[in-house]
Amino acid sequence: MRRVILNRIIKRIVYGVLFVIASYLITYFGIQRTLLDMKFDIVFLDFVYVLMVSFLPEILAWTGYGILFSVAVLLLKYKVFPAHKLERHYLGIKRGSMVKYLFICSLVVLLLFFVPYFMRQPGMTGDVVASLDQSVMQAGSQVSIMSGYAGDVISTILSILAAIFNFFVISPLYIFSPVRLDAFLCALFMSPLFYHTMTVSLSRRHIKVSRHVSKQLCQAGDKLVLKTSLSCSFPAPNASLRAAPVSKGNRTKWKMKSKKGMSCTSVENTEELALHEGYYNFDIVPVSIFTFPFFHTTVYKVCDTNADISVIPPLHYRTRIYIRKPSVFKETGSLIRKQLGSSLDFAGLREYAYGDPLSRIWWKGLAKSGEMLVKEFQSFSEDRWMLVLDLTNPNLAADSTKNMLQFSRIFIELCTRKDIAIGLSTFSPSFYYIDYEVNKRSLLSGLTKVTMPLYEISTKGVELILHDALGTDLDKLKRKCREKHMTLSMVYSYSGLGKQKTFFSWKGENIFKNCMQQFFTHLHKSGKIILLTDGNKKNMGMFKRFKAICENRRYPYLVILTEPKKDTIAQLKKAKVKHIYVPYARLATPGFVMGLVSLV
Amino acid sequence: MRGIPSNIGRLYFQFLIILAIAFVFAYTLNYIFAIDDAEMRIAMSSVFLALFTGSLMLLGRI
Repeated sequence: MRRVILNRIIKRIVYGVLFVIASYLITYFGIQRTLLDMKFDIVFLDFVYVLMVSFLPEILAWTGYGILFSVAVLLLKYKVFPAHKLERHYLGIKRGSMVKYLFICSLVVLLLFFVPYFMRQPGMTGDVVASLDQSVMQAGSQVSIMSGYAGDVISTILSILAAIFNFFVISPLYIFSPVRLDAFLCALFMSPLFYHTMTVSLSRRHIKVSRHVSKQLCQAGDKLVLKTSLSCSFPAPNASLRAAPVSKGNRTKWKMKSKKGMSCTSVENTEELALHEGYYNFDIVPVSIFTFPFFHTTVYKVCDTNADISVIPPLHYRTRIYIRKPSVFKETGSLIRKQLGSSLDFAGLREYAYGDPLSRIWWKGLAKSGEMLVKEFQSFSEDRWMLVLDLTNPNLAADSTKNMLQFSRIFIELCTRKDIAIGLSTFSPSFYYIDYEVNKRSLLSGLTKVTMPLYEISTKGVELILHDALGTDLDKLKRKCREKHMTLSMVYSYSGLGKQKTFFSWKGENIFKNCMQQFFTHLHKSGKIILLTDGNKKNMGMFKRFKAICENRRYPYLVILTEPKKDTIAQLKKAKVKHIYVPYARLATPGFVMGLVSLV
Repeated sequence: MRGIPSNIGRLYFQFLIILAIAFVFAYTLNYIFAIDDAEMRIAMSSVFLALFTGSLMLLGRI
C-alpha cells in the first residue's frame, strides 16, 4: 500500500515539475510569440485564442504549483495516517460520498444566499405557474397553426395533450401560488436531493438480493447461468425505486435492467456466463439506485445465497489403464491402495506400553519368547495426504503454475475417488489452508482460489473499507467467509470491488518461512506431506528446517522439485532431504501421480 | 410497449413525492425570505441549512 502512494507521489512530482518547466520554456523560447502570430479570422475565436495564449504560461505554472501542493498534502497524509486509514482512503469503495453531499449542499447554500439578491422584486409563484399554464395551452395551437393544419385532427390531438400535461404536471404547482418565486425555486432544487437520499437510505436497509449459480464448480468453457433476483419492500417510495444490480466480475461486467412491465419492487435477471479459469465471487452485489431527475447512487449488498464459481482448467486424462493383455484393464484410481473392507491391516509389532489394550497383545509371541509385544494395525481410513504448493517464487511462470494446478487436480481427483482425505495448503503471500477433507468440490474450489494474485491489503484496512460499503451486512459476509475458508481480503479481491491493480513485491524466502510456521501450527493431525516446489531457492535452510520438523513429528514427507538449480539437488542429498526431481512436463500425468502415491 | 405506462406512473409518483417535499421546503423558505430584519433572516436560513445538511448526512449514514 505504501508503495502505491509513493509511486503516486513520485508521478505527481514529475508532472508538476514538467508543467512548471513547460511554462518557462514557453516564455523564454519565443513559443508564445509564434503562437500569437496565428489567427482564425473569426473575431470571437481570435479573442479567446489570444486570451488563452497570453495567459498560457501562468496557467501552466499554476497547474504545476497545484500539483506540487497536492504532493505536499499526500506526503502529510502518508506520514500522519496509519496504514489501514491510508488503505481506506485510497482503495475505499464509498470514497468521497461525504464530500459529494457537502458539494451539493454548498450549491444549495449558494442558491439560498444569492437568489434573493438576483431577484430584487421576486414575483409570486402563482403568476408564473398561470403563465406557464397558458403558454402550454397556446403552444398546442401554435404548432398546428405553424404547420398549417389549423382546425385539423392534429391540432385537436395537440391541444388535448397540452390539456393533459397541464392537468397532471402544472396544476399540482398551484399549491405553491402564495409562495415567493425564489423560495419556490430553491425548494424545487433541494427536494429531489432530499428525496434521493431518503430513497437510498431506506432501500439500503430493505433491499434483499439473492443469487443462484447453476454450477458451483465447472471446467473452463462450460456454460453457466447466473440468476440474480432483487426485492425491496418498504412503504412509500418503493413504487418509484429503479434499481439495477450491476455485477462486476473480475474480468467482465454485466448490467441488469428491470424487466418491462414489472413493478420495480422485485427485479430478476438471468445471464449466461462463459468464464475463464479462476475463482469468481458474486456475493457482494452493487445495486445502483436511480431517482427521478438525475441522481444515482450505488449501494452494496451481500446476497443471501452462496454465489461463487470455481472454474478449473479442463483436463483430459485416461480413466482406464490398459495392461499388455488386452482383456485386462484397471481403473486408474484402483492402483491406490485404499480399498473398501481393508480398514484394519497388520502394520507391525512393537513393545507393550502402559495403556495398550489387552486384546492387541501378541499372546503367541509372549508364549514363545517371553517378550511382551503388541500388534499394531494400520487403518487406511487414516490415510491422509497434505498437499503443499509452493508459490512463493515471484517470478514463477504462468505455465508452471498451471502445471502445478493440473497435478494437484489429478491428485485430488484420484484420491477423493477412494475417499482418502486430502488437505491443501499454499505457501504464498496469502497463506491458504484447508484441513483434511474428502469433499472433492471444496478441495478443487480451494485450488482455484489460490492461483489468482490478491491485493496486498491489511485485514484491518479491508474490514474498514467493507464496513463503509456494506454496513451491517459485513457480519453476514464474515459468516460466509468462515464457511468458505476465505479471508475478507480474498473476497475483496475476487469480487472485483477494488481497483484492478496488483502491487506485488515480496521476498520469497520470508514468505516461505512465515507460511511454513503457519502451516505447522495449523496441522494438528499426522499425514503424508507432499511439498511441490520449483526448488529455485538461494538458501536450502528452508528445506532442512522443513525436514527437521517433519521428522520430529514423524510425518512422512516428500519434496518434489520442478526447476531446481544445479547445486540444489546435491545440497539436498547432502542434507538427506527426501526429494525427487520431476520436470513440469511430466508432472501433470496420471502415471506419475500414481507412482508418487506408492512412493511416499 | 407494455412497460411504458407503468414507468410513466412510477415517474409521476416520484414527481408527486418530490413536490410534497418541495411544498414543505418552499413554505419554510418563503417564511424565512419574508423576514425584514437582515440578521434574523441570515440566522434563520443558517438554522434551516444546518437542519437540511444534517438530515442529509444522517440519512446517508443509515
